Amino acid sequence: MGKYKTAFLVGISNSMEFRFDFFMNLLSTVFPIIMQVFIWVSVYSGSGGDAMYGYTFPQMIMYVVVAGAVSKFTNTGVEYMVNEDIHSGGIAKYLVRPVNYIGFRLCDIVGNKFASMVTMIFLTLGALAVLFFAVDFVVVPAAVLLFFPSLALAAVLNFFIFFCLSTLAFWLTEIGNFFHAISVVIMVMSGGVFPVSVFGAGYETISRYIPLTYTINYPIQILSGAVGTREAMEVLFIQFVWIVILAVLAKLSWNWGLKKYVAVGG
Amino acid sequence: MKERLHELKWYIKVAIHFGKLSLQSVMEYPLNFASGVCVELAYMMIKLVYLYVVLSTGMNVGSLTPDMVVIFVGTYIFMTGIWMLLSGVNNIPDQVVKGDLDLIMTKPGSLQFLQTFGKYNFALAFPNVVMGTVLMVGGWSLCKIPVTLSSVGSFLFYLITGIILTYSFGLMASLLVFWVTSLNAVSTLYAALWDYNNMPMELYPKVIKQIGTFIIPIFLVTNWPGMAVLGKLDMIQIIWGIVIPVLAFWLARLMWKAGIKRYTSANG
Repeated sequence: MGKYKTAFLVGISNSMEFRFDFFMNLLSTVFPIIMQVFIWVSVYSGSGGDAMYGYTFPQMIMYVVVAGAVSKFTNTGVEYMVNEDIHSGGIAKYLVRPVNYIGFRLCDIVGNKFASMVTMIFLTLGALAVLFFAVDFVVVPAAVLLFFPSLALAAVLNFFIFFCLSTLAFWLTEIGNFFHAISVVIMVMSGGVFPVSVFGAGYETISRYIPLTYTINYPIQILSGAVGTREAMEVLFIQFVWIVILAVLAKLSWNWGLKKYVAVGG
Repeated sequence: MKERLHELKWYIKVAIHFGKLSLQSVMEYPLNFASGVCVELAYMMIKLVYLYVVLSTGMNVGSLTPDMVVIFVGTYIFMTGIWMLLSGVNNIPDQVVKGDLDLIMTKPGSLQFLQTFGKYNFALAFPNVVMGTVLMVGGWSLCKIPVTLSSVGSFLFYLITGIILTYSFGLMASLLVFWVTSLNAVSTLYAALWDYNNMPMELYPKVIKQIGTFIIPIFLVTNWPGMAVLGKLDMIQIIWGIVIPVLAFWLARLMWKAGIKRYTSANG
């Protein structure tokens, strides 16, 4: 257990090593949010204040304000790490050590995300306070309490989605661009830009049965109060089930890929 | 004068050769070209999602109807293609850090020209330029704007000034590498600022419009062509749209010279 704790602590210190980049990244999250806020202000001012796509104006503003931060937070970048380890031969050193590679990477990333999580808590509370005064958005305390566990589960779920995809690196050589493209598509499909209801009832129904929307759309729905406490608990349960399914899938594909892996080095 | 003209001809000829070489090298690995196109298509999806919201809700952006917004989004996507095309500009930080400018310095011709027009990324540019052109033409047709010499001329004029601004701003952002060690944060911020053009500037409140026009004139890149053709530019904006590209190009040139003076290489 000690080695996984060390991986977690190394992750924390890595994330705080480049503090300027860390805060600039946070700032760059704010710019698209401002643009989206003005889009929705324009849309709702033309609609006469009615709810659109299942969201009232304050809920929609809350969604776009939080979505950027949530998608940044849940994005782990594990696919690039695994790709690098496979193609550079770096995984060889993990294979000879008494360590589970998937567990090691998970702890490393959770550590990396720890500082972001603390920042996220303060940013979210600050954003909610601003939204309360700016657009009369009232948040239910139970929603906030359920939001943070769902956010943590969303990050782990996202980790396993991308870990499964990253094992493709065992079979494909030039896969960096594919990861880039797929991560953007997944971000949009997960509700990272707009709520999934914007894309129509058809996709909204499909989205209930795929893991993607449980990484961004549903956690924010919990915070916005668009789903009740009972439904929120269901979301947490479904997130957990998806994590288990994808963890098994990740382990299977990892073992399958290792059979193909060949390390040549001194 | 004749000598200058001869020199200009030479540079155009060299730029075309560089273009051919870039095209040949990308066609050597068609899979890389395809994967580059896929990446840009994914990013384009985000840009088009904004347009989808405007069209599906039928919202007006300020005084612009949804049909007019199509022209602006098209111009933005087209200009993003131009930005992506200029991989010589975008690769400067990498070249400087690795000391790869040494080799280019030994070649005849302007160093700025050889570096910035020496390589093009057709894979990233292609989908943006095609989709941008389709949207610009489609938006034009939806708005029923008459195709006259003055309308096409003014649109193309500000499209060219937009290209000059794209080059100059991109170059200035890349040249900061001569003064700071890591450009990651600067690049991320520049990309975020660039994305403000995803929607027409009429979407934003007055203070953001003024900042984006007069302090960090990023709105001039993609808003002026559409505004010119829709007759929404006042005299100050018309003049500002001519002065700023010249000024930005000149500033980028000055910055290039200052940056090169700081360049040191320790290659073997």
